[in-house]
Amino acid sequence: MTNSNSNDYIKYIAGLAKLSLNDNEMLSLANDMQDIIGLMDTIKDIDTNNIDATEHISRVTNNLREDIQGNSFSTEKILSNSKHTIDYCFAIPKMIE
Amino acid sequence: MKYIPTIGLEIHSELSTNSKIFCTCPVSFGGEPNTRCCPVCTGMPGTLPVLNKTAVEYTVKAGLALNCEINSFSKLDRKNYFYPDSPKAYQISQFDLPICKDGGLTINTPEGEKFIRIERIHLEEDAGKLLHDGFDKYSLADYNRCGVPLIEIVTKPDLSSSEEAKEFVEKVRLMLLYSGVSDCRMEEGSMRADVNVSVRPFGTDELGTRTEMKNINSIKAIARSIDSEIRRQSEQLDEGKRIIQETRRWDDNKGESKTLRSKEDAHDYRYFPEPDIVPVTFTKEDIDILRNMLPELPNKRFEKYTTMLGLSESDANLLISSVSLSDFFESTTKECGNPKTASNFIIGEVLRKLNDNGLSSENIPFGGNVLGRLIKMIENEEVTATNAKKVLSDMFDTGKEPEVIVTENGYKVINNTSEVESTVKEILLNNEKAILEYLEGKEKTFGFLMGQCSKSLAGRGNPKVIQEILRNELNKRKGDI
Amino acid sequence: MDITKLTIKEARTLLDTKQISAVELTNMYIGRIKSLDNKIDAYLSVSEDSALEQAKVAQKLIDDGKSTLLCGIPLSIKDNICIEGTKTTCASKMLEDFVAPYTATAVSKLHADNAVILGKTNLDEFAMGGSTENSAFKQTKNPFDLTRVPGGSSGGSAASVAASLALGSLGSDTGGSVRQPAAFCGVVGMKPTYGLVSRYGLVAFASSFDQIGPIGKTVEDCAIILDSISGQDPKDGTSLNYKSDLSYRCSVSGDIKGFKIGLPKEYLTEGLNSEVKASLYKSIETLEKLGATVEEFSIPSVKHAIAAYYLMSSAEASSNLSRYDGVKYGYRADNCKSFQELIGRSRAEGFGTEVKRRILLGTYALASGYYDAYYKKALKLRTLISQGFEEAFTKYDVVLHPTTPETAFKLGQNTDNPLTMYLADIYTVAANIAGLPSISIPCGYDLNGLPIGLSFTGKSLGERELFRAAGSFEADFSNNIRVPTI
Repeated sequence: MTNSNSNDYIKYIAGLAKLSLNDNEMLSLANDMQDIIGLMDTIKDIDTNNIDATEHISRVTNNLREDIQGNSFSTEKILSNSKHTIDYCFAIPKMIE
Repeated sequence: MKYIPTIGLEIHSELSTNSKIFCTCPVSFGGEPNTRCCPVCTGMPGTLPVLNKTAVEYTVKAGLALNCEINSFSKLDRKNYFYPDSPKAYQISQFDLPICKDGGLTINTPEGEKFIRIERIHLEEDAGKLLHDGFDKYSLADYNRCGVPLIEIVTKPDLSSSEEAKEFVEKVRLMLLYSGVSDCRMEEGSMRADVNVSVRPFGTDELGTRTEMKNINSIKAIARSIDSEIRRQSEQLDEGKRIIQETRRWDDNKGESKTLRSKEDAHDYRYFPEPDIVPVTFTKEDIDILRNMLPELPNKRFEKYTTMLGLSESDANLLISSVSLSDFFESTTKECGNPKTASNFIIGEVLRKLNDNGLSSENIPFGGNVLGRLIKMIENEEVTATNAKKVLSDMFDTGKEPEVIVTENGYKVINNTSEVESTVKEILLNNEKAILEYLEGKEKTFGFLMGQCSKSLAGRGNPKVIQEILRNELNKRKGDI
Repeated sequence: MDITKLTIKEARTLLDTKQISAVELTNMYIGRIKSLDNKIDAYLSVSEDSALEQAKVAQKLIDDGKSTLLCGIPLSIKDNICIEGTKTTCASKMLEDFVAPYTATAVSKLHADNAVILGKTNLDEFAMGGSTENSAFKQTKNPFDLTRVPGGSSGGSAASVAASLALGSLGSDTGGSVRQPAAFCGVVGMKPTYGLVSRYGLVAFASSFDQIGPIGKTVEDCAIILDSISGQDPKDGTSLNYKSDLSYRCSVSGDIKGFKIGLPKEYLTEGLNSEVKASLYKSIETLEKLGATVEEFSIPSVKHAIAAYYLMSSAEASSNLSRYDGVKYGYRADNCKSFQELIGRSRAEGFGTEVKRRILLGTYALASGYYDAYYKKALKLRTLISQGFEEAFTKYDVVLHPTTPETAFKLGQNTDNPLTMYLADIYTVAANIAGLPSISIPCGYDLNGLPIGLSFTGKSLGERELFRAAGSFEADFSNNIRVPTI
């Protein structure tokens, strides 16, 4: 991964992750990512062809909950940590859909 | 037709569970914003989802009703995207191992029967609602709907017209209603569809570029949007333009679609297995138990009603339009033994009464067996057809049993010939002119005299008996002339 | 009574024999926090009033003869664990003002046992780090040497116990974040089998690795806490339906004659500091003296444990941290004209650098085109590593290894070098990858007087063997235990 390509790609990744990084940060993080991905690339050559992926370590299945209704939280509590609420809703800048 | 349309549908249906899919908040329609929320469904730090057993079972039932195979091993996955109606910024859904796969339904087309394949049905959580109209500078987010369990039914691109799509959706809706998994109220948003449309020139095989229109919430709008898009794409191609693969917004009021700004610039959902929820497995026994819980499905009932019970197709269709109505019909028939009579009476009288009173077939205040008894009384000539309608009305209004109503109102048909005889004789005494006219050959007068006798007997006279006695008396008079 | 040598077990006796009241005990700790924590900076917030209220309630139970083991015992809680009505910041600007609307299950269990919660301790932001230098608010120091790191991410928790600012603590361990700071601070810390303790209320970092774990002065203290906080929770779908028939506390005493202990060859690399290595071998001698056999064995898959761990944990973290968008809670950037701007700037301004690194790495590992080569591959390595340990446990009762390759480093030494930090997790991550229980106990001190930690890792749900091995060693080592002078 050449430097300029990787910088562009990290920009793309930062966009996917919704991190609006400034130029300095982007450069610094792109450098970090080069090193870090270098470490990650060490796994590429290991043969895992006949190995299954482990998605859940405990091997338990069907841990389901009975369909019983409980109490909801008060609207006040739900909104209590938001910096901007209007009419019992969370407020965001106007969106045009 | 210059172009062949191809249509695929993704139908979303909210499941009618008591609680949400991952938390115990109630599932219901409407209500003040953010009143049915908790830390789990609003994505607060440190919270975890726990899967609702009934939501899983309902998904299997829907799959069985739609002729799907149930995957014995199934799992949930995260679909990552940022949007203000999604508090966790990921939706817990199913990616590569959905609960149901490879099913479908047969629809009727002018060319005959057609099987529309269902590729998969998966379980996922619904998102919240965004409100844009209240304020100039702000949009508002209400999370009541977050976490309501949804099934997504994905068809293969087998549909070829808006009529086919309409019929397919109606049939799917009926199946879901019968399986009891959803109330399918499109106007409330508990069922909605994404429509995918493409066209290709007649005589070619390769499918054209498709566009998508999302969240269409009435069957009429589904049909309209399909027709509009077929038209739009055909016109584009006629003008030599290419179809852009995009998501469009259907405005049913204006009857047109517009390009929608995409939810995310990049549609890389970065699916990965949901670590907080362990996989779901089913044995053959599990699936059989759920299958046995399904009521007899509408297509089977239709078969039965038309071939075995001799009902017309249109009558059968009416009766199967809801589980409660067809169950009602069946228990009525069981009691009175005559499916045709039961069907006629239900369609003619009961449905009318329901309409008049603004009720649905779930709210009939008496069982089919009770109606069956009333029908038996008509057949046994214990009550006249006319009075039976009055009895039915009373049954709705008062909740009393038909036998009681008949007795209380004195509707019981008079088969007693002496009472009829004396009434007939009295009428004849007062209607000399009519007798003469009848004897001169005016058959119509007979009807007049019948009416007079009936009225005098307050409608309780058995018409056959009145008729017989009246003829006898009139014939006797013949001899007098 | 020397507070610096006090353990939960001893405090229990003092309380039950009325030699001290619960309020007095809590006040002792509050007082010590007030006079010493400005040097250590272990705490982000102290809840003096509620702690005293809890102590009063505890005293009533003691008076009625109804005390449990933790009744009236003052503990600290890592600030990524929610307690209703209190700030839960995760040491991040993103959650600086977040007041939790509910309490984590593990803390509810402590409440049910009438423990006293003194306050919330400092950590690396969102539990990402190995030194507590990534905290947005303050730097916790190592009580043994205030110029050095306490370890991380549960640095505040470990320091609070080591400096006797709490009798025990709840930390969280995703890649070693309880065990490594416990080793650096000369105390005991353990990570339970994945699923043994509910994660409900633990702010998620990496869902399939996170576990809440106890930190204490002794193995028995940790076992007492584990007895309280473990058990299936209906609010956590990954918590196990398992209850040990014997309490963990009872497993601590018990000899290890005939115990077979395995030492992974692959851990004896050049990176292992010579003093730590020497301490390891001395510990092996002790274990053999106690009747165990210690044998080297090979588990080649652990060579890839760090890469696999960072790929999987960062991938999950990138998703778990997507919810921080400034809308429902948390930091919200000013004057944003669009939703995109709101989330992009709130996240860029609210998160620290290490958090951003992990989010970028995780997003990368899951991105279309990279998923198979990175994330999926790591999941396969997870299988290999788990299988390697499973096989080892057919031969061995526990596995032995150093907790860290070095002792506590100087503040600022590694901050510009994320890779160095990552590579130092070499011994701890395997237990998280395989979901296995693991405990770190003090086994020596280097020439600078800095603590050295020894780790035992057990089979799944093998906490009892773990406590037995650790307890036996500790009993033998007890005269050598040092306490920091602050």
